[in-house]
Amino acid sequence: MDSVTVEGRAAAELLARKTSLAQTATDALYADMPELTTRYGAVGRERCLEDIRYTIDHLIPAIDLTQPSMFTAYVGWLDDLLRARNVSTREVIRSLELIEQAVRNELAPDEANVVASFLRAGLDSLGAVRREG
Amino acid sequence: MTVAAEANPAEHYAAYLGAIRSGDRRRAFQIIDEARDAGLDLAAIYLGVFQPALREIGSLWQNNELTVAEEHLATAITQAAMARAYERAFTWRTDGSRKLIAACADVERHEVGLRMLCDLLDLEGWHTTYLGAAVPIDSLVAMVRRLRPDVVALSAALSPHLPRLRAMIAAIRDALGDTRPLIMVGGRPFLDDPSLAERLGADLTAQNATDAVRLLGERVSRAR
Repeated sequence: MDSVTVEGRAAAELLARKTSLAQTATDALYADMPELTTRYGAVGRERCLEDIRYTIDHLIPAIDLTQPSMFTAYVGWLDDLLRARNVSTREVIRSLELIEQAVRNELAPDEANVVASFLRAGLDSLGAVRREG
Repeated sequence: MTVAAEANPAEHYAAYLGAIRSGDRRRAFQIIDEARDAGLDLAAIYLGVFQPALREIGSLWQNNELTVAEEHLATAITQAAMARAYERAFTWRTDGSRKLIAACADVERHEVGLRMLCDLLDLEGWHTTYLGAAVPIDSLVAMVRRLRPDVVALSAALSPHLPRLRAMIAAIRDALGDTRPLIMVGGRPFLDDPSLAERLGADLTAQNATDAVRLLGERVSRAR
């Protein structure tokens, strides 16, 4: 990762803080949507944490290589996968928004802005899917 | 073989998919034996039967129609069926001069595409060294130094493995400088965007194993 560009720094920060960012976003999602606990239980919460970590795993190379399509393709894939398991697009959207919130709290503003723009590209791609569907 | 042009992989594909979907290893082997008998060559079986079948298995898992265990079983059966088909196509013929080392950037699974490339190159007379997944970078570089291959082929099935792939390429370039081998990359991220290959420091990429064999045949001369 290129430490000179803001994308390189943002990707490196995401990698370094992946665990705590995923935990923060998962806690926030469950605080925000308490019905998830009754619906999915403790196992569901573990899965959710794994999924959010996996999302950050896919966010990192997309930012590092400044390739938003790499992340939007992943988001589409994830949404299909989760909908097949009765997890709604609304929950995926909320998780992306809460990753952004966690990133804004932990990363420098310029790095957080870069990460946010990639997350927004992912959110936009889900919006497109919803309009069509 | 002239029969190969007439033989249609599609019917074998459907039967093979059914067999691995239900985890029936014997049936899967039988279908591949029948495909060979019908005149399909190894490349047709690899790209016309195994590859689309594994892609479909991946989609079925994504759609929650297969469990992870069933998906892993289908992959394991396919790896065994590949070895069996390769064994039947194998010849001792080799030109002994063109060498390739192959490694996956992934830390787990997704090794099948690169295995296909190595098998098909072997049949063309290449000497291939297949290392699979999770090879430490320094040990890969040491082997490249020792064997001095014409080509190093690296694959990444998923974008999170791209940083490791780039580190592998950089290490080979650093260690060997001007005497470095040709570096080829492949995998899903390069199908989506072939220009990534150059950005990561590689020399070339290909859309599938057959294209890769043809491309390498053009780029690497036989006699030295």
